[in-house]
Amino acid sequence: MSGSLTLAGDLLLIMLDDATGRLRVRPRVAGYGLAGALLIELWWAGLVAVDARRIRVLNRRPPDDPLLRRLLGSMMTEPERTGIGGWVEYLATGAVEDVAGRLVETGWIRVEQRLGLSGRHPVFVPVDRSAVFWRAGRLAGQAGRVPTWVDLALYGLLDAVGVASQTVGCLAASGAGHRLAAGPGRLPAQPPPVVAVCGQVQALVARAAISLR
Amino acid sequence: MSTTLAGNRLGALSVAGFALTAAAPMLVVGGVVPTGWAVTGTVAVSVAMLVIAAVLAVFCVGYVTMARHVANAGSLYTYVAHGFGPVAAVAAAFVQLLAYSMMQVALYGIGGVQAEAVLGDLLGVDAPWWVWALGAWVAVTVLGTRGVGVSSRILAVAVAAELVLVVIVAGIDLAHPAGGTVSFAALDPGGLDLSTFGVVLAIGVTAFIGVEAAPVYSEESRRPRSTVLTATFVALGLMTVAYVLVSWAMTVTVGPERVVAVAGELGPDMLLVPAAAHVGGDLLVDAGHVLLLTSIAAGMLAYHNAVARCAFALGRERVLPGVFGRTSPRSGAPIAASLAQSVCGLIVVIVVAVAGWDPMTRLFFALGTTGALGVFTLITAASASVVGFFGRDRRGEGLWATRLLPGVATAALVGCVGLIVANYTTLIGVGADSPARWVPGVFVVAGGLGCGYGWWLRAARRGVLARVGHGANAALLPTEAPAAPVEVA
Repeated sequence: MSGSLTLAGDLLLIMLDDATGRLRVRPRVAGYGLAGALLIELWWAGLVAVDARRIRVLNRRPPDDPLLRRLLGSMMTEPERTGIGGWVEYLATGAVEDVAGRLVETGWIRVEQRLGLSGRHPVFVPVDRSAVFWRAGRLAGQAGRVPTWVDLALYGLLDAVGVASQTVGCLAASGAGHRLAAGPGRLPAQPPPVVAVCGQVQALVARAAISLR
Repeated sequence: MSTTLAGNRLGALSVAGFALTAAAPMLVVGGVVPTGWAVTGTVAVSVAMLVIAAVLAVFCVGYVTMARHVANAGSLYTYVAHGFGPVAAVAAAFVQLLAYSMMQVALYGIGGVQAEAVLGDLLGVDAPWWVWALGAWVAVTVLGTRGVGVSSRILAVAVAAELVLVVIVAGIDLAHPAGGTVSFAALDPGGLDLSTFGVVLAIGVTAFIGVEAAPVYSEESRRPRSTVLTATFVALGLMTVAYVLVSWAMTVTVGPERVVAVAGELGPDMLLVPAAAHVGGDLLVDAGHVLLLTSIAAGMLAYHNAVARCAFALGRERVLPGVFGRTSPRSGAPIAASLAQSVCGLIVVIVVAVAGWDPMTRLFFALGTTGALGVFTLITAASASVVGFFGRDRRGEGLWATRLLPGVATAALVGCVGLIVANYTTLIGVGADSPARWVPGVFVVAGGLGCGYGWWLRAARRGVLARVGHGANAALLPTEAPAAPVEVA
C-alpha cells in the first residue's frame, strides 16, 4: 500500500467485509456515506464552505486530487444548488466506484467481478487483509484517547450509515466506554460542517429505509 | 434542475406506481364489493365508491399542497404535527400505529380462510385456517426484514397481474349482460342513502388506502410542485376507474335485481363464477382464486410496511425507543419496527385460533372495520391539519388548495366518520345494543394515551417533542442533551 488514506477511503475500507470484499451495507447507503466523506474532504481542503444546510464553493483553485477536482467542477457548474442533502444524493451515484478507484491506485484493494443471482457485481478484495481489518481496530482504539476531528467524522459517518456498532463498536474497549459513540451532533467539539454533513447522510439513509425504491 | 441532479429523480408515473403497490384490486372487487352488496342489500355500492373517491380527491388537493412544506410527508401524523402541534401529533401517531396494525392483522383472517379453501383444494392439504395464516405470517415477517423496496417489487407484480385479470373479467361481463341489456342501475345515485353510504364507507375506504403514500416521494420527485399531485390523482383515478368499472360490470352480467342474492350466495366468487360461466372452463376461476390470495398477501405486506415505516419514523424522532429507528445495515429494513408488528400479528392469530373464534367475523370484519375507521379518522385529522397549517399564512399557495377545498374535505370527512360510527354495529354484524359498539373507543384511548405521553414529553423531554413530525429528517435537528465536551486533537 502507498499514500495516506483519505477520509472517504478509510470509510470504504471499514465498510468492507475484509473476508469477502463485499460491502456491509447496501450500495445506495454506502454511496451516501462516501459522498458525505468527499464533501468533508472538500471542506477540509478549504475549497467549500459548509453551514447547517448549505454548501458553496469557496476556492476555485483546482485541488491535486483528481476526484476532488471533478467534484468541485460539478459544484461550480451548479452554483445555485447549495443544499447539502442534494449534493450528497448526487455524489452518491458512483461514489463507491470512485473511491474504490482511489484505493486501487494506492494498492489497498483490487476489484473483482463476481457472478451473483442478479448478475455480475464488483467485490473489493483487500490486498492486505489484516491492514484493512486494522482500519476499524485503529478507530476503536481511540476510546480513552483524545480523538482527532477526522476520527470523529469517520465515526459519525459510520454511525450515519448504520455500521458503527458492527465495525468499530464491537472492538471498542468496554471499560471507558466509547467516547466516539455519542454520534453526530452530540459532541460539541465536532466541527459544525462535519455535524451538518453527517446529519444529512443520516437523514438520507433513513429516507432510503422507508422508500419503496 | 440540471439533468445531472435530476437523473435519479422520480416522475409522476413512477410515484403513482409506488402508491398503487398498496392497492389490492382483487381483494376490493372480489371481497369488499360483494360484501358491500350483501351487507347493505343495495346495488349502489359502485356509486358509493365514486363518492368516496370524490371526497378523497378533494382531500388530496390540500394534502399534497401541504406535503410541499413538510418533511416526512408520507405519514399522516406528520400533518397533525404541523397543523396542531406535536402533542396532538403524538396522539395521532398512536392512533396511526393501532389503525394500520389492525388493518394488517385483519387480513390474516380472510387470508387463512381463503387459503384453506383454495390451496387446500389445489394442493390436497387439509389444514385449518390458522395454519395457513401462520404460513402467511412467516412470509410477511421474512419479507418485512428484507426491506421495503424488496416488498414493493413483489407488490407491483401482484397488482399488475390483478389489474389485468379484473379488466378481462369486466370485459367478459360487459359482453354478456343479463337479459341482453346493459344496466346502469349500479351507477344510479338514487339507490344510495345515508345508511347504505355509511356501511360502504367503512369497507370502501380500504380500497383507496395507499393513495396517501405518494407524498413520501416529495423530496425525490423531479418537479416537487407538480409530480406528487399528478401522481396522487393518477393513482386515485386508476383505482377508481378499476373498482367502479369492474363492480358495475359484475352487476351488468348478474342483473341488478339479483346482485344482492348472488353476493350473499357466492361471496368473493361472485367476481369469477359468472364470468367463468360465459367462457367455460375452470382457468378463470383458478387464476382468480390464486390472485385473490396474492391480493390478500399484498395487502398484508403493504399494511405491514405502513406500520413499520410509522414506527421507524417515531423511533428516529425518539418518541418510540431508538431501537425502532435503526435499520439492518445489509437490507436497510427497519428491523425492530417490522418485527414488533409481526409479534402483534402472531399474538392475535394465536388468540383467535385458541379461542376458536370465527376468523372472518372476529378478525377480518371486526378488526378490519375498526382499523378502517381509525385510518379514516386520521385522514380527517390530516385534512383539518391542512386548514390549521395554512390558516394564518398560505405560504405562497392558492386559496382553493389551502383553505376552500380542505375546508370542504374536512367537513365531508367528519360526516363520513360519523356515518361509519353510526353504522359500526351493522358492519361487524352485531346488535345495536351490543357491547361491541364501544370498540371504536379504543382509538379515543390510544389518542388519550398519546396526548398524555406528549404532555409528559413537553415537561420532561422537550428536545424529543421538537422532533415530532420530522421522521427521517429528525437527524438534522439538534439532539436533546449535549454530552460532556470532548477535547479534540
